[in-house]
Amino acid sequence: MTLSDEFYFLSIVEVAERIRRREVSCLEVVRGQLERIDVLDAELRCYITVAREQALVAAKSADAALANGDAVGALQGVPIALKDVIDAEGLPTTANSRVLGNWIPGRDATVVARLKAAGAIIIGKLNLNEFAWSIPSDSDRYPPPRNPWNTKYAAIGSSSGSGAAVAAGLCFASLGTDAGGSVRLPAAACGLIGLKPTHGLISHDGVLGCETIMEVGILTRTAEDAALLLGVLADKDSRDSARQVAAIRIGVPQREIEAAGVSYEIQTAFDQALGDFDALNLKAHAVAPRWMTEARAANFIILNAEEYSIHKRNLRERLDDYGKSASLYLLQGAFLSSADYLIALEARSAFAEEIDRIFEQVDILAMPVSPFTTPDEARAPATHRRGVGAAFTAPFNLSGHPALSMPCGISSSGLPMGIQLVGRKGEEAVLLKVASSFQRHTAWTEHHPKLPAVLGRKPVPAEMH
Amino acid sequence: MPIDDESVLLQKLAESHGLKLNDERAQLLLPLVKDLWAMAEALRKSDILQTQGQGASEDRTRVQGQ
Repeated sequence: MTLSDEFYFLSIVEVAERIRRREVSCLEVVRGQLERIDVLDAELRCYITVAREQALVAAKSADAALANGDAVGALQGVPIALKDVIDAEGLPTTANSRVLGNWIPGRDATVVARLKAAGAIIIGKLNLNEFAWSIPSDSDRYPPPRNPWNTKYAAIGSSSGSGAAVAAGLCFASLGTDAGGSVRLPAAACGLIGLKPTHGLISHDGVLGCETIMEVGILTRTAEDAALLLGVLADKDSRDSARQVAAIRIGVPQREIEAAGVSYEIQTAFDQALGDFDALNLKAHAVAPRWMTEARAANFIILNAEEYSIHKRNLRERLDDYGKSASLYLLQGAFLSSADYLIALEARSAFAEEIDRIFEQVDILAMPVSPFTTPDEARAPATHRRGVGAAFTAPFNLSGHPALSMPCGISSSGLPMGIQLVGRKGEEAVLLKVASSFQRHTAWTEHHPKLPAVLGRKPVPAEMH
Repeated sequence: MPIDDESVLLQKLAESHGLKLNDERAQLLLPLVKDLWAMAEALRKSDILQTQGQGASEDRTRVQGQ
């Protein structure tokens, strides 16, 4: 059977069901996935490593389990890819850096082990900003991914490959990491659901990055897929709200949105999204959380201090092995004092309490994912330096509250725009329930980038891979 | 382009961490570090903190004072 290109834009829920019903084999799904990567990724540059042999072996094993009538997991046979800071046994972890050389971890990160236990096929390791910090740069070991919606633009980072690959149908979902918006920003730029869970809900074991503010996040094409993956990855179940969707109160920090200098296109899309919520009987209320700017600053200070601490030895001994851009970003933390770091941690506690207080008034917060529409703006060092593009995302890394980005429009340059929802700690299920209602109402998640046809152009020989 | 005095001082600060910054890297890094210090300064002065911060290091004051 030759699968169509459209098959690779189905949700995980749909694909897993077709596999379980044995309408399509895991091997067919993986072969078609590899062919799409072979044809499209030379241009898109999403993958650093394609796990060709491992994926084919895993697919055959997954088919055998189905043929035997074995109990199978919720992700049986579904190709999923990993940001290349997440360890998978037998595959290089490069972090897109020359510093790591060809290091191959000897075991899976906990999140990878859980994916495999649920039947997922790890199809490869995805491109990123070097060591998940800095900006997209040609000075990294591998050049940055291109946005499949418009290849003249970046996919934003740092989980850029994780966003671009899912949007382009080069995997059905991906994992990224998020220490200031690095899952939610590429998800928004690529028209996806991007979930940063509550701090500590998903294991960091086997994942490179700073512990205090970083989370392993999920990028999918639907809210239902994100919920499915969260159930596989989380250490405990997320709490749902007793409230029906229509009774959920949305808080909008309008003063902070105005202060961030949101672009006209983003503001228009956000206002439309609030109108869509209203149509769903989700009522918006003005709220005024204090210290969003301070929270972004504190998050930035913690990120810089911890990244420098992680890399200090290599920065001393092998500075030229880092890309020029990454070296500058990683060096910054050397010039912070211990007092700066401790003050940022103190601000972390105060801001988390402030957001908890806001959640006594409303059930979720809504705001744009980023103030900007064009990725090129976010790439300019003058704007990125103070993390302005992360004005709405970084504060919730600091506070540890769960946050989700979802598509809410298409810009004049043909790129998706996103809205962010933030919830009480442990209440990812509420965010996903609202996102599901929103996506059914607006259908933004049904839009996909226009890409060249790959499958069905010619017969796929069985022995091709 | 000759290196400016502030970048030279940043190189000296870096040396105290065992880091060797060439002139180009020091000049590129300087505006990032100054922005970071400005953020840290703003945070110290914010009412988000229960108590006032302890202030910048002497080395930093030297560089900012140039």
